[in-house]
Amino acid sequence: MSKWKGISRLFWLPAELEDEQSDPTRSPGSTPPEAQATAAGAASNTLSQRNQRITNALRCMRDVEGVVGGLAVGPEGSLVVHDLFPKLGPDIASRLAARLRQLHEALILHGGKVGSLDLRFDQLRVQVAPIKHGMVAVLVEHATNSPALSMALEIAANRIQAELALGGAHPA
Amino acid sequence: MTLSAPATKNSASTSIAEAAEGFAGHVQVASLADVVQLRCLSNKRASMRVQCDGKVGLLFFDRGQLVHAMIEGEHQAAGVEAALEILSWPYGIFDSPELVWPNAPELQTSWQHLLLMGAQRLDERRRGETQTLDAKPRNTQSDKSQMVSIPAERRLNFQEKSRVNHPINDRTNLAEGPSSGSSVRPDELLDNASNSDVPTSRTAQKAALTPPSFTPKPTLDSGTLRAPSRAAVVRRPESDPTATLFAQADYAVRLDRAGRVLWSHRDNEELVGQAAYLARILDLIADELAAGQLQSFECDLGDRRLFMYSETKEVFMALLLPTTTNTTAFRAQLNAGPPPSSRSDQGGL
Repeated sequence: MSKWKGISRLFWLPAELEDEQSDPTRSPGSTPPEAQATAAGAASNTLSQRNQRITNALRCMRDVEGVVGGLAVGPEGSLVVHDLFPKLGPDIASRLAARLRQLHEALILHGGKVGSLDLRFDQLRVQVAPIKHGMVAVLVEHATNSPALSMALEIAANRIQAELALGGAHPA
Repeated sequence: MTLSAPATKNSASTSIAEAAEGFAGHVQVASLADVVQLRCLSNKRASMRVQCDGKVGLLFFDRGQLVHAMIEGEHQAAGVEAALEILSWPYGIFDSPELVWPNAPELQTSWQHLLLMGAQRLDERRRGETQTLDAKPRNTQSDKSQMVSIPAERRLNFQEKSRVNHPINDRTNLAEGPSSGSSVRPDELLDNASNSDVPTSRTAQKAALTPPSFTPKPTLDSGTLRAPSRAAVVRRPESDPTATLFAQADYAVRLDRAGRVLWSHRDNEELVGQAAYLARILDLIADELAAGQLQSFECDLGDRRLFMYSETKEVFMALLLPTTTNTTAFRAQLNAGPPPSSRSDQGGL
């Protein structure tokens, strides 16, 4: 894992997430803890099922080596669901979603059609695929299989777009 | 480049008379780009007349930039097209008479970019000639060797009087460049080492204003003046990802983190504002994720692609490129892309 992962350990982690993170029974396809907590508090079962499907779509991208996590962003820059490091927490995911929305807004300001975004930092890359009702972002290490990642992101974006189109982009 | 003694007694006496105000000589160079570069680096206001096959081109320099170009006569042209045409002439003669200056200089493009484009055009012409005139397979030798293989009688002839504004320091002497074997005029070099006409702050500013990879400058090293090597003057686009990228850019701007424009290739206020804002948001994202510093940002904008990268912590570049531009090689050079491995990377999404 990257040096960035080491830096991310400095983030504050709620106790309940700390426990769940060390749970060895979690399978790759299961709902991450923060999404479970969100679903429990949600008024509608439909919304929680939709969020779970979106989470699963995000988790599928982890099949590509080097993928650290992903998030789905609603049309107003709200966080729909995230599948990031437990230690990053929902606050950071929400702020990241809002920042990505700002980026997108700046790019479409002059009427241009915006395609995928590729952000490269010292410690990791962020790839963003705009969709009809928001955008999908994936955090990935530098050493990755880019063509495979492109395909995985495209598939996840299609699935998430379909989910958001059906039920609206309610934030988690 | 060679310096030779005047051929006749008359010309010698004329030159000596003129040398009372400077130096006069006869210089042959393999490429007009060398002379243009020296002219620009001297930061002087000057004009130059170039002749090739009956065509006459005029170049005007001011404050370190090529500010205007025009072709007279049958092939009349002005501005960028004229500059590129003149810079792509493969041989000819040139001098520096007192010319009438144009009312409105037309060139906004940096001289480095013009040299690059001129070299590209010259290469394309040579390739065309090779394919047309010679049915044999193309020689795999580099184009650099083609450039220096111009017959002596077809090389550019240089006759110019240079005016030295200050005495040459005894410790300084002319030395051959590292690979070109060329000599340069002392006033050009001294102007660059310590130009009395340009404030120190401006000299420092100029370093930030020049585009990357095109800024070889003569250096003063232990009392020895060295000329830039040919390889450093005009980099081959095929071998230099930076040059390739800049050659393809529709617009390019270099900004600092405070939003100051340090250099630009064509004016594009939209790009400046957009790039400055994006850089700020990208920095905030980097902070949120504790991901270190921004290396690069790339985005498809339909008909074009926006590419930004950090040159230093404080300075970054933003370029608008055709969508067909492959930035993989450039990112590898930046160390912005994944390290070379068995995995393939086709340049992002």
